[in-house]
Amino acid sequence: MTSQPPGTRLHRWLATRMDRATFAALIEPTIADLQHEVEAAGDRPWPRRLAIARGYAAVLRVLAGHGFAWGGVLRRWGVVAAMGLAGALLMTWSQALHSEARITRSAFVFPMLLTPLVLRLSGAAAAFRPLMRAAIAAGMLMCLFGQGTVFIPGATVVLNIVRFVVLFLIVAFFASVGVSAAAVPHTFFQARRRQSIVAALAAASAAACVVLLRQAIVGPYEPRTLVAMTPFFVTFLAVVQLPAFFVTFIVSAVMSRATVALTLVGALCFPISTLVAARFDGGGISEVVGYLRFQPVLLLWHGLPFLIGGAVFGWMLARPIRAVQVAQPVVG
Amino acid sequence: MNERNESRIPTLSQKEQVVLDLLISGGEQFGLELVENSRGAVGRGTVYVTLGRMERKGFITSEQEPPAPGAIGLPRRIYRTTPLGERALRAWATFTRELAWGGQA
Repeated sequence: MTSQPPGTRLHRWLATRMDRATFAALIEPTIADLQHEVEAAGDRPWPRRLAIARGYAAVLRVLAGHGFAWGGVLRRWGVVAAMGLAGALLMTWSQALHSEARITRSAFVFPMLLTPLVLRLSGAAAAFRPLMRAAIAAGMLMCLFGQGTVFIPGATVVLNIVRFVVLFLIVAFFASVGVSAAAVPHTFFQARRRQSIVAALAAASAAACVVLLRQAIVGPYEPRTLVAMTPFFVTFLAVVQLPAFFVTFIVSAVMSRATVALTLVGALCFPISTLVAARFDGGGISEVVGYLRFQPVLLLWHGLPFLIGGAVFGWMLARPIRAVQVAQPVVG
Repeated sequence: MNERNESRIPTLSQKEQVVLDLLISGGEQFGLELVENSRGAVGRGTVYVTLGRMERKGFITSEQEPPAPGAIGLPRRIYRTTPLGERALRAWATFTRELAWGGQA
């Protein structure tokens, strides 16, 4: 058996996973130092062990200090771990406060939808497969830490397998939805626009967190105060509203060329979703009208994520539409 | 951004001063030798970051050590100062001395 100097396997492993420039500038010389120190220690066991320990500690210090900023793989799995753990915290928190399914589902789904977008924006991954793998990993981390272990100790093996498969399918489904949103190769999802989408989703998420916090402070869940405020419902209703939004927007775009005007149209389109949400919440038409008349502050509060989302979409769409208008001027 | 950085006057951090000082007084050295000779001023976790930065600034140059007969490990890099690095250290020393005099006046 040929003996390899210590650090050879680590060198080989990191070589394929790290950014080439970082690897050559930082990791390679640190491993070279480790190997030379061990060689200098000769056959004496304790100095040799000490040199190995010091060498690996130096590699770890370099990786901890500088690997995250430069290493694609480390950054990717750092994001996955952060999203998985943040999602697990959000799930545990929501489950401790509520038995309301919308909130717990939102807490489960939202981090998974967000993971691929965060990965794209941070530059940690761009291709479909790595995004998919990372989103699924974040989802499974959430299952592991947010719902106890993926396997229930007391249950039968078959039940555990079924539970795991169901969880995995849910995770895979929502991961693929998020990845599709993040990986669409179209100018619509250029960096700045993706950032806008993430900002709108983050605003919705922050609003939901504020509501959860308020519930934790002021008391039990009141059904009507949480209409449409959970991130999942914000995302879901925004998707449902898009066709209606597009029609209104395109009609407005024919009549106006100003970006600001089109942005305002976008912002005004989306509170419609709040009314749909109020209807979803079990109220009849008269209750929705009453809600509009007597709860204007709540209406504004509930519509805020949609307002932000609408403005963002309006602004995003205004420029390409204007570009088309410039290319094909409206006759009139 | 890079163009703007390049047009700026190069600065010299405390660690970079220590490294330049060691390389001028002791001649060309390996990274680990610099760590040992600096008596704790430069750590093993940061030495190559500092050296990389100094190389980009043009204060030092490096090359791989020639392969020794029978060596099985990775080759190390040996570092030496450039005339610009020597000038930068001298200028920095003058600058800090002038500031100190200015403070006393």
